[in-house]
Amino acid sequence: MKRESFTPIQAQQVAGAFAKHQVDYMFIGKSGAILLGYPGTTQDVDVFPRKDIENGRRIVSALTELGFEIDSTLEAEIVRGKDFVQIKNGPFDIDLVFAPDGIENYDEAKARVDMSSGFPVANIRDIIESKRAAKRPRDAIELPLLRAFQRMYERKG
Amino acid sequence: MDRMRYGFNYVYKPVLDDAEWRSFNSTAEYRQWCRDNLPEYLGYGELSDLQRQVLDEA
Repeated sequence: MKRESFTPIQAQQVAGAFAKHQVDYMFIGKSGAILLGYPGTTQDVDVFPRKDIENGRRIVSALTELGFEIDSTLEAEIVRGKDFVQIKNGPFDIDLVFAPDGIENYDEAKARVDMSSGFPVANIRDIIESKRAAKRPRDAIELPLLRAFQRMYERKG
Repeated sequence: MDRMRYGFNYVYKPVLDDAEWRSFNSTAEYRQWCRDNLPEYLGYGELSDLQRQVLDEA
């Protein structure tokens, strides 16, 4: 599939550091949709990592390298894989969503991952399902547009 | 490339941005924290009937 190339700087930074430290993850949420070409804006990066201790340690190393201040308490929360960890003390905001709404299983989501942008991005259907399951007013605004984007994206694919 | 770069923008969000980090044992717990603490206009509150219908139909 041919698409315009793009390199959102935060995604590049995350992808570079996560690759260096061999983090098992995928982009999710609206930031993931933007990486697939959805013409929206967002204020943070959402990441869906595999929940295991070694992967947690790798995330800590990668985020530290990116400039996040990971104290011992936060490190323990990440390594433990608390379902939702939101970090705002680095060069950009990042949400580590170990258990996204609407997605049952990491391995199944990983099997559907979309690498067409050069970044590991959750399948657009998984992104939409997670937003639908979150049941937030902000998603009610966004979801019809994301669904329309999905139809176009899959037709082009 | 620039359009995508600026697709990630930042404005201050009251309460949400007032901690260096936070964590939750479940995503549901996080959603509840958002409903209980964040200003309505950030869009993390309760769904209206119309919004619920939009989500169901999307």
